[in-house]
Amino acid sequence: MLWPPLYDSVTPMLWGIPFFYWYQLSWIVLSGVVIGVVYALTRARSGHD
Amino acid sequence: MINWSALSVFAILFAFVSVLGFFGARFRPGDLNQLHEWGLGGRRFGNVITWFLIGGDLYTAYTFIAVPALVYGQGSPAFFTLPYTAIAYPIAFVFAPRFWTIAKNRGYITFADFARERYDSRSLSLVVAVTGILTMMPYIALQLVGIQVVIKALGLSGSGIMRDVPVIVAFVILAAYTYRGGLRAPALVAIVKDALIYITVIAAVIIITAKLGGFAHIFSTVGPLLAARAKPASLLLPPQNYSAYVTLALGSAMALFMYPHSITGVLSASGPNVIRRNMAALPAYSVLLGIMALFGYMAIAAGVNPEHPNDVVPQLFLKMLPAWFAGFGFAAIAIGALVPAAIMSIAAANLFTRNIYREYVNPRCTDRQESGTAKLVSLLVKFGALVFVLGVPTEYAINFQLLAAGWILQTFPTLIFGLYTRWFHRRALLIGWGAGMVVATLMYAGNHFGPVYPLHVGPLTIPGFAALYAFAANLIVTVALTLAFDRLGVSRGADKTQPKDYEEAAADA
Repeated sequence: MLWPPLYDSVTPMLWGIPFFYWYQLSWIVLSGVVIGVVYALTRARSGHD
Repeated sequence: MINWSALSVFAILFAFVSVLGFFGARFRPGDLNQLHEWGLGGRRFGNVITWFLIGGDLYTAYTFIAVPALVYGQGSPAFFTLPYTAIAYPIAFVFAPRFWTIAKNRGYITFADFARERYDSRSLSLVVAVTGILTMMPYIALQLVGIQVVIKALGLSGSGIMRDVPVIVAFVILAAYTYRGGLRAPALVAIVKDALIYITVIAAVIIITAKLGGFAHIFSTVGPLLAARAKPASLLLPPQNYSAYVTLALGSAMALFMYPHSITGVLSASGPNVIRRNMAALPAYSVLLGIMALFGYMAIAAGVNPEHPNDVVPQLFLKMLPAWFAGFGFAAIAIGALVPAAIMSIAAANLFTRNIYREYVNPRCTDRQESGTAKLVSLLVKFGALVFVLGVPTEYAINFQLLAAGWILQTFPTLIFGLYTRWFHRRALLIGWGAGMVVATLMYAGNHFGPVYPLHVGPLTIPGFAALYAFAANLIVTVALTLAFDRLGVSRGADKTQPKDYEEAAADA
């Protein structure tokens, strides 16, 4: 996310949306998912309910 | 020329929400004469309410107006809000539960409370509080600006005092139910607001995209239109914008949870795990914001030509949606101003009451006096914002808020590092804060309040987020002075917090 040259391009497109845009949007979703996973894993480890 | 179908839908929703706000005091009842009940909802909000509250709090009416406006005006650089929010939640996931725990165990209402006890420094606590209060004021004013923009789009533009009546009415309603119910009122209203916003944005994006011939068509139209402007813009990010983009994203992410209204939202949760689960779920709002940002492009593709960039979203709605649905959307945005404005005024009131009034004016105040002061202050803060909005050109409010954003990041070292270590010396943190404030102010003032400052390093010019540069200065000074003060034996004061205060209770929240 913090290295724009990696994603500053139009292709590959998804549903007509340039890569620059859907890549960043998907990272938002991903961050939520990753946080959720980390949460679930750390709870399992520390023995909460 | 009033748009009656839009206005009637707008008025009905607005009235409904106002009534709802007044019932707020009865929601999960508590003794509203206690500051933590009024100001933090008694720390009782569970997973769902917290999601609605923080979501409604962070995603303000001004955000929904300004982000698409920025996209319309600038193109790709405006999309830094996407990586910004992707970074912000992981950061908060790590530190916010820890802060919640220490706050619960020691009875803190504000970040400044923590600074006071952790570092045994009233001055550090005072500067944190004052910085926080200063940032809330323009932000509230901008919410009222958001309402003004929407009112204007409904065709209710009179001149002189008539033009201001709707905003004044909105303000009075907001002030009344916040005074009574404290944080519970916006919590309840947030449920409605967020539901309206989600419905509006999802439906609008489907309708508008379909009308404009699909995403591919939108993007292929917008690209050339952006390039053809007097100040050319583009769909892709030009390489010279990379450093600005990255620093804006990182700096904004770090600053987001330093804001008093974010802290208030977090502290009102019923437990640290509520916060963790929300950090996983709140990104949903960011996806929404991302879609709203795309509205800026849709407006370009649709040929919307607003007289002021802030009118982009309202004009787009009026042009592309049936009038009644536009009214629905406007109500969502206007109500979307009331929730954060209420929370911001409560947050400012909490800071003033705890860290200025109780600290310096009346240390032996009763619960009643404390909550009474807070109620009064929240009223004054809103009133001040109203006067500011009505009397001062919008330009100033925007600039003030941009500057305040630079300021709030300077409290990051004290608060975030303080949660994990006492290595930094309290006096060093104070002076470092001061250095950061000075650098931020100079950079903004010298750059017409543009947030991206071109830093000259030798032969290079690196444009970057001024707040982050100021933070770097802050950090350097703080580290250097910590080492110096320790060497000189300057007193560090006593840490009133204990390690066990940071531990979460065994029972799951």
